Order: sequence, then C-alpha cells, then structure tokens
Amino acid sequence: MKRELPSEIGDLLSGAGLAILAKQIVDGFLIGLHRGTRRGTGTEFSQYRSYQPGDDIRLIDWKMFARSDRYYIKESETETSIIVRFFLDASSSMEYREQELKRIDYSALVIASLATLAHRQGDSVGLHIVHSQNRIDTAPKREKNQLNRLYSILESVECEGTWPETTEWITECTSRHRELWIFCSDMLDDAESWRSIREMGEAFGHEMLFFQILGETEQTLSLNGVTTVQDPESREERTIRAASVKETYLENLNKYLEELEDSLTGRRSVHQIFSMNRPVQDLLRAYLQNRSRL
Amino acid sequence: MSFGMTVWLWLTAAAMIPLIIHLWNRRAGKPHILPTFRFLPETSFSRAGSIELHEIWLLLLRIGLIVLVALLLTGLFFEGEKEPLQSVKITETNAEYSEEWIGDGILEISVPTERIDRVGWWKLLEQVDYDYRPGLMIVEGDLNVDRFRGNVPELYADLEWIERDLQEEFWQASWLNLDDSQSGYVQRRYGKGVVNRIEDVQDTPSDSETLQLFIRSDADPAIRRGFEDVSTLWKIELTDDDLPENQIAIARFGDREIVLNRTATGENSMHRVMPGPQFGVNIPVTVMEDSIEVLNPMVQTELTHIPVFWMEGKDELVLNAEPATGFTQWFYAGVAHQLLKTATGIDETITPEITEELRTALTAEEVSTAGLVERKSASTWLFLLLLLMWTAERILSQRRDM
Repeated sequence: MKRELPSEIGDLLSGAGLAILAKQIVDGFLIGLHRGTRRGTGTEFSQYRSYQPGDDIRLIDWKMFARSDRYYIKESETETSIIVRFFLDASSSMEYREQELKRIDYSALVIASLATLAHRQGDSVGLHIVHSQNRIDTAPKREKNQLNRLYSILESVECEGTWPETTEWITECTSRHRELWIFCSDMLDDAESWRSIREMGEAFGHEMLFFQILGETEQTLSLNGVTTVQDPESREERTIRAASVKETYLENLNKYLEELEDSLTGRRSVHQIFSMNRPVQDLLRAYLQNRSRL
Repeated sequence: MSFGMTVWLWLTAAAMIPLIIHLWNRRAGKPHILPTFRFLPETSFSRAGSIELHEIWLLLLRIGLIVLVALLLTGLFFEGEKEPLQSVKITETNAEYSEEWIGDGILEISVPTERIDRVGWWKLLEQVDYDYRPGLMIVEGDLNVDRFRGNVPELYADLEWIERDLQEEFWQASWLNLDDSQSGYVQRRYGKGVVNRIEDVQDTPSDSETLQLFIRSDADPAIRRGFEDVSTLWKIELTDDDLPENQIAIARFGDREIVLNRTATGENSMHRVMPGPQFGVNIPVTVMEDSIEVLNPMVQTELTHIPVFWMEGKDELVLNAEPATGFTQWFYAGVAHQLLKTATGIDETITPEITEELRTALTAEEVSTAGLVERKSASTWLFLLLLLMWTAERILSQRRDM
C-alpha cells in the first residue's frame, strides 16, 4: 500500500537540490526556538544584574559602579557552540528503495537539514561518509562554505560494501572537544559493533544520536504472494511466500531491534527509528530535543 | 439447461486470466531488494515454490467468478418439460442456411442440401427425433438412396416421405401481419418452395350469402387458383364473369363493390394492381427494406436480392417479375383475400395465404400446439452464487494477503 510522501520528499524525488531543500526545511521549522547561547561572559551584551556574594569581582562593571555607586555584573551571551559530526552509512543496503525513494537520498536530506540547522546555531559541522571500502571525511568547521561543501559531498554519495566490521576507524573521527555525533544508517548489521561505537563515543565524552532509517516494507514485510528477494550486500537470492514467513520475520526483526536498542541507548546516547516516509522535520525535532541537553 | 445468447460463452475464455495472473506472480522476475534479508526464516524458502491449498481454492474461486459472470451474460435458463410436437416437417433447401419456424403447431425445418449430403438423412432424422420427439416427421426433398447412409435409426416418430427435386430458383415470400403495421415481403432467392404464413380467418362474415367474388373468365390459371384458394377459405363461390379488359376480379358485399385492376406493362413483365375507390384494392405494403421483419436473422443478410415487388408511391403495388406459377397463385390469393376483407370492411390487414396442399396439412385434425419449451431463467441462482463466491474470495484473499 502506497502512502503519500511528505512534500519535501516529493521535491527530492522530482530532482530539487539538496541545499535548497535543506534550507527550506530548516526555514520552515523551528527558527528561534533554540538560540544555542547561554548567559555568561562573552562579546554580546545581555543584561546587568546585581553583584551577589560569591561572584567573581573581576566581573563587576566599574563604569556602572561609577555612575550608580552600586555593584553590577555585566552579563553577555556566551556561545555554546559544539562540534556536530554526521556519520552517513554508505553501505549497499542504503541503496534500498521504496516508492522510488532511496534510503541514502532520504538520509542525505536528513543530514543536510540537520547540518543546516546546526550551522545556523553556530556549531561546527563535519561529515563522514562510511562504508567498508572507503571513508570520506570532512573535518568539522564553522566557516560559511562548510555547508556548501557538505551539500556537494552528500549529493555525490555512492553506496558500496558494508558497514565497517571494526570500530577503530572512529578514533580518527574525533577531537578533544565536546562533540555531538549523529549517525544515519539502517543499522542492520551486528548490534555489537554499534554497541562498541556507542561505548567509544561515551569514552570520549561525546553525545550521540543514532537515527535508524528503515523502509515500510522492511518493517512490515508487506509483499504480495511469492516473491524473490535479494540481500543487497551479499547478493544472495531466495524465493519466499511473504504471508507464510511474515510472522517469523517480524519476530526476528523485533528481537534484533530490541537488542540494538539495548546496545545504543545509554546515558549520552539516543536511538530512534524513523520510516522513510516520515517528514524530515520529525528528525529535526528529535535533534533539537537532544541538542538542548548539551 | 440452455443458453439464451451463446456469443457470451466466449467470455469463459477469460477464465484463463486468474491462471495467467497466478503464473505471472510466480514468474522469476526482478528480485526485490530486501536489506532485512537475514531476518527471514530459513525453513520457509523450500516451501515457497509449491502451491498451497488455500491458493488453489482462491484460484478456483476466481476462475469460477469469471465463468459465472459469463454465464449470467449468456442468459442461461433451465428448460421445463418439453411437450412433444405432433409433427415436424423437414424440407430440403438449396439455400445456404437452415431455418426453423413454427406454424400452427407444425415445426418446419429447412435443411440445406449440403448438410444433408454431409450427414445423411438418417442422421439428420435421428437428431430431429431426439431434439423434438415429434409424433410425425414429414420429409420432403431428394430421397435418393445414396443419401441414406448408415443403419436405420430407431425413431420415435412416424415418417412420411415426399419426393421432390430441387429447382434452381424459387420464390420465397412471406406476408407478415404485425401488431402495429402490415407489411408484405417477397424475396427472390434460392430456396425451397414458397414459405407462407397464415392465420385462421376467424372473422368470416356469417352472412356470406351477400359476399360475392367474380373473376374474369379468361384469367390466368395461376391467378384463378389463387382466387379459388381464397374462395374456399371464405366459403364463398367464385363466379366467372366477363369483366372489362383491365379488370381481374370484383368483390361485392351489399352495395359495396371493390374492383381489382390489372395493367400489363409489356416486356419488363410488370403487373400492376391499381388502387382506388370502387375499382381497386388498397394493399398497405411498405417498401421492401422497411418491411422485412424476419424471424431468422440469416434472412437479413440477403437484403441485396433484387426486389420483386414494392409500393410505387402510396398505394400502388408493383410486381417486378414474371412470377413462377406457385408464386402467382400465392400472390393473388393474398390479393383476393385483401379484396374480400376490404369489401366486407372487416379490417384492412393483409392476411397471408398458403397453398392448398400446405393448408391441408396445417388443418389436419392431429395438429397440436407446438412444443414451445418453458424457460426458467437461471440468473437469480447464478447471481446468488456469484455473490457467495465473491464474498468467499474477498475473505480468503484478505486473510492470506493475496
């Protein structure tokens, strides 16, 4: 059964550019809801408040004291920018297509939108295209051109191989600063490897968002009659009768998803499953909810 | 069980559609990419290729649905008890097709010569005997011994044989008396004999003493025989009279006199019946194309034949032929009958006439009503069955997601 796709997905399918779409999505979303700043010392004036015992006397505005003969602390908005790293799974299974929409294209749009939002909040954004054959790294930067660079890379992603079996590579994608890691993947590999990633991230002190992008058919096995199915990574083919295998399939899938949930959920990490027909704004909302905790 | 419209039986071929869809669904087509492949149970793969029981039921239901729709369209009906026909007359014809009609309790079947040559008389009679169970079968045609092949069948009916050679060309004509219009129809074609229809004249005036019919003394013998047929039918006397040159006959009823005129038209052999008050008849015959109200649709294909009589203007009947004797007799019997009816003012309807020989056969004491079969439509039962099967199909397909 076909569902109506969100408008931005329709635009994506009709060939609209990733940059324009991402900006449109973010513009139409939660601009102003989250400012990404906190009060403290900084360059941009925020307010005066009375001096309280315990405040650093270096913060007293002496000019104000001269005018009013009272002690005031000058507060400015301080920026809380962090490094946001996006990890896009580019294994063969990301080529999966439903209603003409490829999982990799949907994921690229999600990352482009999240990166746009993060960049507007003053965060440094970086991107890592990951699969077993190769990895494309774009170091996090705040500069204006960074977004265009990301858009360009996301638009030319090619899928091959599998998700890396080992996790050592992740050490090459981190810094000593506070970071937010956002993973976009189908996460249909070994749950243990994902657990390792989560543990490594926690060891570095980073926050992590694991967005698992799945298709409707994958989640429900809504195939008719006898169908030949193929594993995109191993290329193995088998003929199944969907109605007969559906029950066991869903049982196996849910068991794995529970295991994955267990592996990815931690003090600093969140795991969420999204269908490919969900509006991208839903992921932005999830991002903001978790971003505000940082 | 019979079909009203067999042409829809072709639709049963559509019963192949579910089979084709079924096979199409099972074809080894482009595989469906499924990244969650590894969650599929191993044990199910080997059983996927075999047809499961519910699939067979579903397939049969879908085939049955199409067949039922086809049967509904064919107008399937059940036949009631057949009342045996008293007699069937089987006439050999050199036309290319068969015709069947029922006239006053006799079923008349004209069978093409080619078919008789092919199957033989015995086979044909056996089939007619089986189909209609008549008490008597009158067989008319070429009864050469070469045409009786095989063993003599055991027939329910008695047989009566009439030997007759086929001629090259005959007139076949019909008067048709319809509910709303009167029309005449004559067709020149290859056929066997003259096809006539007649209704019993129930409205013969009781005071027939005053109805008189005169014919000119030197009338053509064929015309005279036609008038004689009619006078017998009306139970009046046909009287010879020295009528003027252009008059054929006169009908008198009380002080009313109706004259039938005739004008020779020379080489093209046209006979004209001139109408008009006091000296002619008004035979309301429509033009040929409009008049054809045939019982057998095959006749309609013969419209290209040369018309032999038609109305010239409103009231003038034109006969464009040198008719065969039998036809002339028949034709003038009809005209004479109309003449008498016009004179008596009974009605203006053309009533067709028949030859003496045929009339004798028809009025035989043994004649009974033809065995028209009572039909009970099967559509209600078919519709109920269709509804039932459709419901079952919906339930089964939804449960099995097929």
